[in-house]
Amino acid sequence: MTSAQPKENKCRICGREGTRGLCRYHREGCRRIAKHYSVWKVRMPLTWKEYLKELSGNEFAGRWVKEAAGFLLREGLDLAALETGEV
Amino acid sequence: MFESKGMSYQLVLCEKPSAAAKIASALAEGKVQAKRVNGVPTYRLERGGRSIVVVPAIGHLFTVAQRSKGWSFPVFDTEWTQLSEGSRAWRGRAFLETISKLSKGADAFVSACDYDTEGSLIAYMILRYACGGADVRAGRMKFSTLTKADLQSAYENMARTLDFNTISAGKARHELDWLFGINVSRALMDSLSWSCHRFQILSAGRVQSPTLNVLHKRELSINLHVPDPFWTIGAEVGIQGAHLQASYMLNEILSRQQADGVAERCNGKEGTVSDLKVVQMMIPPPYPFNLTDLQKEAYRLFRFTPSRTQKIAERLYLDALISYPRTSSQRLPSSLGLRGIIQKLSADPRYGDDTRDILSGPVVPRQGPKTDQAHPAIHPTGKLPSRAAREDGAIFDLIVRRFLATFGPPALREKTVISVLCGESDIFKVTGYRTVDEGWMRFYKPYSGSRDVRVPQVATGDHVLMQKVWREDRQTAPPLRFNPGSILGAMERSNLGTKATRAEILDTLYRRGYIEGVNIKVTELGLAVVPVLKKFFPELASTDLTKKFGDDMEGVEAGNRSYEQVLGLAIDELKPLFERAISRYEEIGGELFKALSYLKENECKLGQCPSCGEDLIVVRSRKTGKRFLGCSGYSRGCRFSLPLPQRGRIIPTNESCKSCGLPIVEIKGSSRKPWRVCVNDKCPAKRK
Repeated sequence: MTSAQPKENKCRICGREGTRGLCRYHREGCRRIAKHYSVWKVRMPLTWKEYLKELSGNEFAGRWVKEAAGFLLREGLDLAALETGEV
Repeated sequence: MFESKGMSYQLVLCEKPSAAAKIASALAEGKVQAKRVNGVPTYRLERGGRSIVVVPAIGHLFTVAQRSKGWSFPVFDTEWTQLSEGSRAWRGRAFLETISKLSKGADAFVSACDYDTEGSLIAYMILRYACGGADVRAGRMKFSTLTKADLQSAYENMARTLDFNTISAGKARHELDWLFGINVSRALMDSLSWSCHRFQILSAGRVQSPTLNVLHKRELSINLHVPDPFWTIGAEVGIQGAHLQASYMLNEILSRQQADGVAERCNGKEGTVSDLKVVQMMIPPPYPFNLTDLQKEAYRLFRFTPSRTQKIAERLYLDALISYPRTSSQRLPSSLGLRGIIQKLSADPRYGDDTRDILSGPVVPRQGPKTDQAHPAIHPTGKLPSRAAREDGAIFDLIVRRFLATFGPPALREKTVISVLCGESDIFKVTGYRTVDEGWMRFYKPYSGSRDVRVPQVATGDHVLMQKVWREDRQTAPPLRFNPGSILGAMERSNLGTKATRAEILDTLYRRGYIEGVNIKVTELGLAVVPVLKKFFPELASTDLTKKFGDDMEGVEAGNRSYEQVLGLAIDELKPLFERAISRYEEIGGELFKALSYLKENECKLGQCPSCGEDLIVVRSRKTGKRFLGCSGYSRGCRFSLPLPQRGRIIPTNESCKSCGLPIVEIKGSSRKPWRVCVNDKCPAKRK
């Protein structure tokens, strides 16, 4: 085990233990954000960025979803990055 | 001591001091001789030419403990011992000594503890271990109220033996709870200390863990909720000069253009009444209260927590104002003398008119489906409170009104739905409600909570003005958080705990710091522990195993299974689970360590440093031992610091002060309510 490894295993949003930079909660948040975009795309004319912005300040969105949306926005990660498992 | 008189007597054992005083005065044919022995109230009286001594316990005086010495895991050797820990242990010793001394002069024994599993077990343990094995020759008084008549009848008709099936079920439940709790808690703590040399108190329980799991699942659904947009149509219509709210035929429209289209087409237009439906609904009276229903209703109406309601109800029972509250029954048998109870209640002007109404006809209550072998539904005894504390008075009134409501006729409500056609295809609905006959609702005022919405009389073809039609932007909402009332319902549906233990389990979860708030939120500690429990002890976190053991214990109570059989099977089932845990200590401990480290780190982080952007953390001065707010960038030269309150637990809120932008923290003390404060001692908002 290298000394750098533990840091990589920490969630980049909350610092919890995780894999590939995200903890189980924020990873699930990202997965749900991607899944629901198909609904939003049909019902509202929003781009991916606008969608994330909307979610990050939405009063009904869950805590981890808001944080994950904010993270995806800050990191400039698009839907493809989520779908290919880059995050 | 009474035995010094040289006469033998019958020893009547009660559960609590207040109950002992009531029982003594009810059974006495002459004067009651009260005497404190070793600080324990005792009562001597005569009845039917026989001497009786009444003595109380203070609840359980014996508990399950590990037989062998030392900390081991897994542990299955249990024994019942005298209470040795906690605040009741010292007082308990005095009670046990007194009862034991009194038992020497007694020639007969009677258990007059509450007639339920706990009461039966309390008396059994004391009679067996403190009265020289008197359990085999003791009688049992069975009563549901502490009224004189009930107590005298219970004494005259007492059972000649103790209720041994109920006692065995109680013993099995206590021992199983102990085996679960001690072993899972030790597995968690042992693995943590074994893999990371760290000690932290972590607890788990047979009912506690599945309940926490239910709350955890809800927490995940809320925190991971992604709202979806949808639209609805709001409308205000004018009918015969009245302005009424109307709803559109579709509850949910999935396209904004479609919703805009409806609003444009209908706003300000005229519609016609296309259909008129009047439906009468018969609303039957409510069921009599059992404990869970009372707790849920008291939470709905007064926001009393379940444990608070239970405590109040127990006080009312000890004052002989209501029947025994720990019951699952929703039934009121006629043998209770219901007419007599209602007649007694009529002496109170608050219930005078209602009771006269009920007594003018046949007195038949509505019966619910749930039963309880030991007790009927909660009902007033007919005794009226001379002076009750405000909260006691509120619960008493609720119980009386619910009791009276069960005798009322069904209420009759009328629902009117006016359909308005606007243009070619848009239909709006105006709904009105009217109470035609209040029925039982007049006895349950002010708690029934049904409101009337009046609509004018119209006929098909009448014109209606669509005064305002607009689009409403909506989004799907997350599920509601459980509150103390709704979680009780969920526990009951999943058969978790018993009517008597549910409130206590909830209190334990609060006390252990796994949950917080009235709208229950699972804390970071709860979020850390549940995944570990689910991963390594999935059987214990699920409701299935707990439910199975619950059914087994019901079998013991019914006499279909033996206590030894149930306990043996449970141990056979639990042993491999715990042995498997030992082989995975490193993994369990590692996961717990990671989760708890995160928790500790985050408890210290209060926000961002305004000088350098690093984390603001709670630091303790090595010199003075006092705590203050410092910057984690201290080693890189940042000297930002602020003083902090020295008492109470500091909890980060993730909120910033609107005046100065510095973090707001919550201070939780032991003696007062938590309060929120900006960490900046020079904050402009504080100067105001």
